[in-house]
Amino acid sequence: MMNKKQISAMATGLSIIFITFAVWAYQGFHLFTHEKVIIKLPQSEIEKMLGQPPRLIWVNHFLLGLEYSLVITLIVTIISTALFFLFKTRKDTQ
Amino acid sequence: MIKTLINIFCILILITSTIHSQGFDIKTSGVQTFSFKDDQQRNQTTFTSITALDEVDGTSNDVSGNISFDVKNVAATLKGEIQISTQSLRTGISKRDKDLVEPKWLNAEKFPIISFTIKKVTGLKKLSANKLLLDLTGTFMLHGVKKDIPVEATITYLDQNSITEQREKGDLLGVSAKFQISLSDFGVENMILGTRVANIISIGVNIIGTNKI
Repeated sequence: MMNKKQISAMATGLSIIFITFAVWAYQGFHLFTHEKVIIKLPQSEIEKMLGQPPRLIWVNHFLLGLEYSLVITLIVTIISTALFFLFKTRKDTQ
Repeated sequence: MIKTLINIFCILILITSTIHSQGFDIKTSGVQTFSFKDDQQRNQTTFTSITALDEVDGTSNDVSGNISFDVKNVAATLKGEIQISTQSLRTGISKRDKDLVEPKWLNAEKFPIISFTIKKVTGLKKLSANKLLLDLTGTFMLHGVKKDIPVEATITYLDQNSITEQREKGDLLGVSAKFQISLSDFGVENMILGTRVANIISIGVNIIGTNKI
């Protein structure tokens, strides 16, 4: 049986992992983390007359990628597991 | 009677020549040369790679070059070259931008310029008096390798007026082109080619040039 601290450590770890993947999915399932995204600028009159499509510019915008999500998952798993055993040891000692 | 027939014949010749005109029907005439160097870097090329794992969208705003042609006979006289700085490619991920110019990819230090040189016009369709749809063949150079490729381009000519002057002085030429290249044809070999980065890259060129050089 797990004690309250162990349950808390596991629940916190699983919650962080769940939130991480929820954010990753919400932001478009990107393989790699993006620092910038493309947006279309409104066309000027002259650009329309010359048959030009909207110009693209990069703006700062963080999009979480799978690689960072996996790193976060790994770190959280290690910490949660360590806490799980740490709390077990303390209880047994008491 | 004979005079009437001659008149009809002349009108028919005029109509036929207009239909088969190989250039613009605008006020300007003669050979015009357009420069696409824009200090404000508003000219742009785009590229897209799509694989099952990832989609990469990129841009370059460091575009330059010249195009010249006889306004009334674009098909036979069109020539020029468009250049892009290899260092200027951006994909939204700074590490990927750095990787892109490394020797294992495009090797910007050794091959700083990506270019397209027009060889000939293989097809021309007049969309309006100042807009032409062209099928071109040209030499694309990437990674130091040259290869002839087909390109579809729309060119639009605007005589100088109060609206064009808001952008630049002189007559303006808008060029919008798209084509595809295969990276392996240009000696770009990489382990992740075909998985994370597609071998086939779609390229778009959207540029405006002025003849006031």
